[in-house]
This record gives sequence, structure tokens and C-alpha cells, in this order.
Amino acid sequence: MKNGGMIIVGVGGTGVLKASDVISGILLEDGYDVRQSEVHGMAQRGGSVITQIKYGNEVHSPLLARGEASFMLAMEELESLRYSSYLAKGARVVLNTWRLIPTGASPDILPESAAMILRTSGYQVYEIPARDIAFELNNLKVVNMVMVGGLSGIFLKEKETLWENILTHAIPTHLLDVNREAFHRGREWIRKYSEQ
Amino acid sequence: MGEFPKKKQRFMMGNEALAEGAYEGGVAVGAGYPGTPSSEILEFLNCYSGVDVRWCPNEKVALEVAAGAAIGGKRALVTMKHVGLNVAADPLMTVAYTGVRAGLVIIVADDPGMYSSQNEQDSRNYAVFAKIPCLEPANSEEARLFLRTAFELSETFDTPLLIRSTTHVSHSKGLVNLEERKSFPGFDYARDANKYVMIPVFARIRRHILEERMDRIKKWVETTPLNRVEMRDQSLGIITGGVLYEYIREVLPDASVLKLGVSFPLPLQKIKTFTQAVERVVVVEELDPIWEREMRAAGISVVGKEIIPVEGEITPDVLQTVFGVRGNGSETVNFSRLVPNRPPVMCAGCPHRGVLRVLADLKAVVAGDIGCSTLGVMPPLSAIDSCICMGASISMAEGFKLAHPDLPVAAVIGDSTFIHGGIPPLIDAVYNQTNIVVVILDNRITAMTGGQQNPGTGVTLSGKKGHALDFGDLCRSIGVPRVEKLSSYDLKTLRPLLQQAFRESGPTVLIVSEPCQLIRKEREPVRYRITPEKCRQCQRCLKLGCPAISQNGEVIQILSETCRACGVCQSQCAFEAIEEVTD
Ligand SMILES: Cc1ncc(C[n+]2csc(CCOP(=O)(O)OP(=O)(O)O)c2C)c(N)n1
Ligand code: SF4
Ligand code: SF4
Repeated sequence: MKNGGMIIVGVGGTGVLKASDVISGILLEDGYDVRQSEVHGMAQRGGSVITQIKYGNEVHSPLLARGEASFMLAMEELESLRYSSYLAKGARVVLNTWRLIPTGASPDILPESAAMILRTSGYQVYEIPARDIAFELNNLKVVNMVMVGGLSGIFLKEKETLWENILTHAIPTHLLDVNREAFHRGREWIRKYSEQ
Repeated sequence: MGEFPKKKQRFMMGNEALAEGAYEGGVAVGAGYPGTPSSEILEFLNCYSGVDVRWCPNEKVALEVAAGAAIGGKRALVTMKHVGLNVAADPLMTVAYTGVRAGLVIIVADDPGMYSSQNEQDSRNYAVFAKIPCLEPANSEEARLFLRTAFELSETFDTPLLIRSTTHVSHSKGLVNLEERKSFPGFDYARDANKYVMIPVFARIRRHILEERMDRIKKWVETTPLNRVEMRDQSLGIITGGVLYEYIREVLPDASVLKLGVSFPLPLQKIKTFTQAVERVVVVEELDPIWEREMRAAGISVVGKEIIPVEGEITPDVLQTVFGVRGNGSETVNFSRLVPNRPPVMCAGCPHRGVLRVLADLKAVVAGDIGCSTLGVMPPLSAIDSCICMGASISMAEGFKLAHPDLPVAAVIGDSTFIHGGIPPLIDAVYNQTNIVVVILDNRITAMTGGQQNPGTGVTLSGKKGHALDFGDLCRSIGVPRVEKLSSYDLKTLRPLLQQAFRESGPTVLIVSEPCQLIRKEREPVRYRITPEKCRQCQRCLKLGCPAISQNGEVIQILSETCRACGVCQSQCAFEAIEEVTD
């Protein structure tokens, strides 16, 4: 089992922690040793948020070093750039195309497309309009599961039943249907995206 | 994985594992005051039966409740963040003398790098200062194991015991093995005045016992498996502990390591032997050079803070740089400079926002306090002049007024913080007749730390209904000449009230109250909207810094899905351009 790293980034309140738990959950079920770090407290008041996951045969550190993440799940577009230094060479980025302009920042100074910038540096970027999909499902809280579904299209892709089990396990019963739907929409989106 | 059946293992946050360990260790009483990164420990402990868990008004009270329980005969746990131990330092220094009957364990969570704190003090200093042992777990499993044995250790050596966690122990997750709870029925109550009444004659005897106890502990640390040597390549030996051990294992997998599970007192003999077995020794400790100093004093020559930073968090990146390890970092590209900072901001509809806007408009000197309102220091509100520690707003406002009697001076303080440390300063302002305005920002919850109950809400940690403290009654009973209560959103009333209060003599208390957005579950069926034809671009509403209001080119607009319909922006607009609409 090769050691790997993943980061999940976004802004406070975008479901970063829940998404990380689901991902760590499937890694554990698949037999990996896992360490996960998260930040609570001030960062959650709408600030920039990152969680890090390290997995492998035997892992120690809950924090990654720069260049150690082979995967990034970005719940918000701009945050993918903020944490880009964690990306390993050729890393794969699942990117929500939704952009939230930081309070007080002028839109004119912002880069046009994070995906383009990341691609130019050799990263593989998979864009998902996760917010639009969640909007269609009438529930903006499931953006994170659309994203996790997207990730499942390129990460532990074959472990379909494991993903199903993890969702059932991690999500309260009354929210399960909409989260599962969100997951499948994300997964489907990436499947089509990869075929392009 | 491992020899444990799957069900007996769980993926746990460090704070959850600390609670699990305390439960397994037979804890009967848990007390504390919230503070990142420690808050979840008691919240998790509350999930177990057979433990009486409570939030206290502050850390000093919590430690004293727990000390009473322990001396009374039940195993007790106290939790707090690093600065909380300053508040609890008074009882700590003397409970160290009395010792305990049943185990007393104090968990203190440090925040190197100041993710959510006003300073990054190193709590190990308190172990040295109070002469009590300190244990430092490196991960979730150790968090459980250390807590599982901590109470017995506390009893064996008849001492309160400090457990130091840090942000990335408390808030990281790893696999934890679960074991049965140890049965501990507790001890019968027994009076022992010589031991527990610290009048000078008795205290002098205990003072001496303190030294004897430390000698016994120093013998124990030489042999306990909590300190362990891992011999690998002998050219480099690392002495480390806490989560840094985990980073070292990744960054220098071949180095020999002496891992200190007990960070005070040090096993100096063991350290000597280790240093002789390796060619070069580096002490890798976060924040203060506490170990390094003690080792040098014992004549052990080590490298430490010459190469390990004294300030900030030590991360795998820092260690790679220090030890010249080339990770993958050199190949990565950093685009962070392309995106503006995204600092935490007050939520849309936060009840603190309008109040701070009015104070800034009135050009008041605003002594701030700890809590969500501190976020009002940032532009565009730029409303806070000081923030030092809990409760200091009121007393510092008094000082500002003494320095400048002619200036309008206000203190702003949250409900939980007022209860924590604001009451004695308010009594001082009444007693000494200081002409300040104290604004109690009563959002019915302890918000900054994630939404804990407090005496003002009247609901306890375990969800029981207790008595809800009435701030108005309290202020009147201590003699505040003028106490007014109003909605945090009613700025039209607030402004003249403040203007008048600044002219009056003696302190005035304004209790502004509206629930925090964290506990306002239902969205209002109305929203606010800016009518473009009426908007004259005066940007007055933008000065609130509400995340729902933004300017895009010429257009100022309200993001309907973010707006929480507090109506504060409407009261700011002179052109009636902001109107209420129903969904
Ligand atoms: C001595 C001490 N204990 C705990 C903390 C952690 N802390 C920071 S803000 C805060 C809560 C403030 O709650 P409240 O006063 O109700 O204000 P709110 O955040 O709700 O506006 C706490 C407990 C601290 N900074 N210092
Ligand atoms: S959590 Fe509550 S007090 Fe804190 S910023 Fe949000 S609304 Fe305001
Ligand atoms: S009413 Fe105005 S100030 Fe209040 S949340 Fe909505 S946009 Fe923000």
C-alpha cells in the first residue's frame, strides 16, 4: 500500500469536515491506516478551511508537508489556489466551479479561472458545478456530497459498495436520500467529464 | 488491522479519545470552560453514562469543583485551553500542595501557531511552576491510553496531573482501540485538615512533601514505558514528544528517537544514556526550550533552539527545512498570492454587527473582549481598540477613562465572557464610579467556541434546564445606576441611548440581546433587497461588512440566500433603498 495524501479545502460552513469524514471512512474500510487533521474554532466563521488526510500501511502525521497531496477536493474555486503548494506533481483536483469572493475583496483583481492556472502547472483538474447540482436538488447543504461523489469517480472508483456503505453509515437517515442523490450526480458528472 | 477485532476500534478525534480514556479510567466528574482546541472533550464525555459533566463560569471555578470532587473521593477531570490555565493558576498552585484523594487530571490544550487564540503560551511551564507531572500524548490512541492511566498515576503520587494537548492532537483523527471502563467506586469522605487546609503551619509541611513527591516521580519517569527509546540509525538521535513525534517519524524515518510521553519531570538518566548511544542529538520541542534548558542544566549537551524555531507551530514543513530533508515541496507551485485573504468574518445577521457600527460612528473608544465581537476590529467596522483577555474590556475601559476623562469610553463583552470575568470589573466600575458604558452583547450562547450553553442560557451541558441568570437583575443588584435592555438590531434606540450614557456619570449597562445565527434555526421568510433606482452608491451599507452585501462594479446588492433578514442594513440607508421582500 503506497502512502498517499489528500486535502479538502473550502470556506467555513461548506461541509468540509463531513466530506473529510466520509473519505477517511472509506479509506479505513478499505484497510488503510489513516490520520486526518482538521481546524475548528475561528476558521469556521466563514474563513478559509483545510483538512488533510494521510493514508497508507502505517502513517503517523496528521499534517502533510508541501507537495504531498495527490488529491485535492476544493469546495470553492479560489481556495484551490490558496492551498496549491500542498499538491504533489501531477496531482488530481476535483474542483467546484462555484466562486465565493472574500468579503471586501474587489472582483477585478481575482484570477479568471483557477482550473486553467492549475492545468498549466500540470495538475489534472475535474470541474464540477456542484452548487448548481445541489441547487437542482433543492438543498445547498449537499454540495459536499456532490463533490465527494465526483471524487469517487477518480478515487477508489471501483469500490462502489464501500462508498454506498460509508454514506449510509455517515449520514443521518432522514438526510440520506438527498445526500445519496447528490453523491450519484457528482459521480455521474465526473464519469461523463472523464469521457470527454 | 492490528490484533483487535474491528468493532473495538474507532476513528476518533484526539478530544474524543481523551474523553474515552477518561471514561475508561473511571472518571466520575468532568468540569471545564470552553476554549479552542479543548471544547469538545467535555462534550464527548457527556455522551457516556455515569459521569457528571458540566460547564462552569470559568476555569478557576472548574478546577476548584474538580479538586473538591477529587479530594472528596471521586475521580475528576478538568478541561480548558492554555489561557484558561492562567485563570485557574491560583487553585492549581496550592492543590499541588494538598494533593488529592481520588485522581485529579487537568487537560490543557495549547494552540501553537495561534489558530484560535490570543497568545501561544507553553503550558508545560505550569507543570514546572506548580511542581506537578505533565503527560503529552502524540495521537488519539495515546490520548486514550494516557487518560486511562492518568487517574491512577495521580492517586499513586498523590498529585494533580497535567495532560498537555495541542491543536493537532486535539483536532486530528486516528484509530483508537476501545477498552472496558475500570471500575472505581470512589473513596469515602474523610476529613484531613492537615492535608487540605492550607494555613501556613500545614502548608509548610506540605511544601516539603511536594519535594519528596517530586523525587519519587523523578525515579518513576526513568522506568515508565510512557518514555520510550526507538533505536534506529545512530548518527542522529531526536528527543521529542507530543504530535512532533509523529512528524519526526515521517520526516526522519531512520532517526533514533527518545519519545517523551512525560514532558515533566524529565528522565535525565535515560536521556543521558540515549545521548551517549547516538552521534548527534537534537531536542525537537515546540514553543519554549523547557527540556533543552533542563538537560543543559544537568550537563547534557544537546542542540535545540539554535535550529528549532521558538515561535509558531512546528509542522512537517518546518522540520523538513530544519533538517534539510528534500520532500516533494520543491516541485510544487504556490498560487496563494493570487487570491486575497479570507479571514473569518461575523456571520450575516450577526447581532453584534450593528452595535459595533454605531459605536464606531460615535467615535467611542471601544475596549473589546474575547468572542465573536472581536472580529469587529477588521475593516470596514474597525470598531475595537483593545482585546487582551476575558473580562478585560470593562476594567480596561475604566483605565482608558482614567487616562482620558474627556473621551467617550465603552466596553463590549459577550454574555459568556461577562459571566467568566466581567462581573468583578463591573463591581469595580460601580464602586469607584467610573463613567463608562458597558454593552453586554447577549447572543444567548457561547458562540466563538462553537455554541456552548452558559449560565445566561440556563441550560446545562447535559441539556438539563437550570436557572437562567438575568443580566439586568444582576447589574441592578450590584448597584449599576442605569441598566437598559434592548434588541441588538434596534439601532435607532441604541444610538441616542449611547450618546446620553456617555454624558452621564457612573457606569451604564446596556444589555443588547438577539440570538446568535448559530442557534437561530429557522430562516426568516423575509429577505432584504436593494432597489437599484433608489440606491445612490453612498456605500453606507457596505460599512457593515455583512457578507451578504457586496459591490459588483457600480451595483451594490444583497445576496438573497446569504441574507439573514436582520434589517440592520436597512436602518443604515438614508435613501430608503433597502426594502423587505418575502421569499
Ligand atoms: C481564559 C479563556 N478561556 C476561554 C477562552 C476561549 N474563548 C474565546 S471566545 C470565547 C467565548 C465567548 O463567548 P461570548 O462571550 O458569549 O461571546 P460570543 O462569541 O458569543 O460573541 C471563549 C470561551 C479564552 N480566550 N480565554
Ligand atoms: S456565530 Fe453568532 S456571534 Fe458569532 S459571528 Fe456568527 S452570528 Fe455573530
Ligand atoms: S438584512 Fe442586511 S445586514 Fe442583515 S443579513 Fe441581510 S443583508 Fe446583512
